[in-house]
Amino acid sequence: MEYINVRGLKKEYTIYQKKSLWRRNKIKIKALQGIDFTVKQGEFLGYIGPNGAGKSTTIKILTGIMTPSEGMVNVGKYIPYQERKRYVQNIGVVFGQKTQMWWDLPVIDTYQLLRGIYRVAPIDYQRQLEYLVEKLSLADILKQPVRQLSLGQRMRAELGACLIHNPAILFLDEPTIGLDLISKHRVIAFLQEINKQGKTIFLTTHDLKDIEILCNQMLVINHGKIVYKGTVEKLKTITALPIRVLAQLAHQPGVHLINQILAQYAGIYYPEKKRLILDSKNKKETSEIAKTLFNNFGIEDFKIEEPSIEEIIKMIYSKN
Amino acid sequence: MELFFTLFKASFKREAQYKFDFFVNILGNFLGLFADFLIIALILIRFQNIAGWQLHQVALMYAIIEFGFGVYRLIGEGFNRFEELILSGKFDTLLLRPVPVLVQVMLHKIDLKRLGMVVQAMVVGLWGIQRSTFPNSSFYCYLPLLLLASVIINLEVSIILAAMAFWTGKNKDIIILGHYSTRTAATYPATIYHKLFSHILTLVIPFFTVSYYPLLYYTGKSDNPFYLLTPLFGIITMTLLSSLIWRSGIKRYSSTGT
Repeated sequence: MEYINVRGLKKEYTIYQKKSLWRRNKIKIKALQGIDFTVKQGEFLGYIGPNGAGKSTTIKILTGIMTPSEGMVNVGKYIPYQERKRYVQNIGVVFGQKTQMWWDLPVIDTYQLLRGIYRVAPIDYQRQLEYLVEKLSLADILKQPVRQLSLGQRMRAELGACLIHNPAILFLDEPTIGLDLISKHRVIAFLQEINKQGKTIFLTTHDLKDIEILCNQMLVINHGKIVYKGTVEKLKTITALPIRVLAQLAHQPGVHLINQILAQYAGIYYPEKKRLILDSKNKKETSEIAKTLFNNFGIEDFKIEEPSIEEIIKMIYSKN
Repeated sequence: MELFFTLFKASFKREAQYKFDFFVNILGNFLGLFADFLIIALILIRFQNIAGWQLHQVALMYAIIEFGFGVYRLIGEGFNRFEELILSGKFDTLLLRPVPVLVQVMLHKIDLKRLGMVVQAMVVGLWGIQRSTFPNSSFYCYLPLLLLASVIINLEVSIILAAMAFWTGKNKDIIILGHYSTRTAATYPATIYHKLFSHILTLVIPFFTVSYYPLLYYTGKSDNPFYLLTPLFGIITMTLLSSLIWRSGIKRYSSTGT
């Protein structure tokens, strides 16, 4: 079932650039130039793109903060920007760079306030609070004012805050930004778990590792256009980046045999190190290469390097 | 309503975190404002009256306006500091909650130290009442309504001026000019001002509708009871205007962002 449905979404702003004290230039910025995508219920979607690509604009429209210039957005049964107040009752949002908690108050006070704001029944609140305290290890920080928390602690508390009213969908805008490895792992493990329990999650991040671990689907946006949508696995195959096969040979091979192999596959041989590096176009070719090498040579060490997701994304960005 | 108290409680707790600062502030506020009134008093003692208004009568004008202003600063500090919400982008997070934005902004910060302002206005007012004689005792029924009207007008002026930040980003100076100075001006009788300026205080930023005009009747300068209705006109126009401007401000915000 499709939970988020976005069709032909466009957003333009006019900004003014100062030319002199009195004169200014009008500049039209096309933040989104007609994007389409859908997100299924229970999906974990990763949304990535370089700075200024239109990520924040998209998330602001999806959360009802901003109205689009053109196009259609449905989340569940709502049109976010038209029925904002009713809609936001059903979503949870974390902006990694801004806190939604009361800065001077202890975490637990924020939670109680949110309970009032979202009108959560006391029983449900108690159950959810216990769950969040356990899963996010909040016990030690509940009584501390938000301003005294470390970034990692704050982010955990923030995730708790957006789940007090148990929304069906979460929008997370860079929730792992600036976190150390341990804090990040905790956040990621938590997100994996709530996704397993059926929450739909829309995540934007710059960290591609997060996406690789967490997301089943990903969207890549650049210059206001969607340049890739699909699984993370498929992304690796659509780019023409080669899979690299490295073999450390046990003995110096015959020149004739090496030349034959180099004629068939793109690659290079370093005789002094007895090292052979070949580029394979796809998985089938990789296994062919492996078979040929193991049949013909004594192999001391053998490695297959898939292109990293960073390299792939870099290529997608630069293509546009 | 329950929500109103929830948010009020949050702001209150926030304030109470810094107790010492809080008490020093209340005291400072009280003394600072008292100095303001002292200046008026000294001038009046020297000249006996301003345009036919005696000191205790001006004290009433002062008390009514300052009471409204004090209560507004107490519960509506969020409007006063609205530019911070806009410039920091924190306004976004208010839009993510299923509660009217106006209430959230208003209770974003309550400023308990303004209690000093309210108490001071009441002290000056009581002194003024004691010295005055009123044409009839309906004044005592009318006064609570008038004070309420003063609070409402002050809040509405601040909503309108706060909403300017949707267009201009920064608006601190607009607030100082449009609210602080006009409210000080509205503590003196209209007749001392140029026509244009007293029209502004009647029709544009209508503080005179809660101070000058009703008191014309109660100080016996006019026997036209119509003047008792002016606060109503002031509130009706300001309610319409402020909700219109606030709404178009939000609309603009959601189409442009920050």
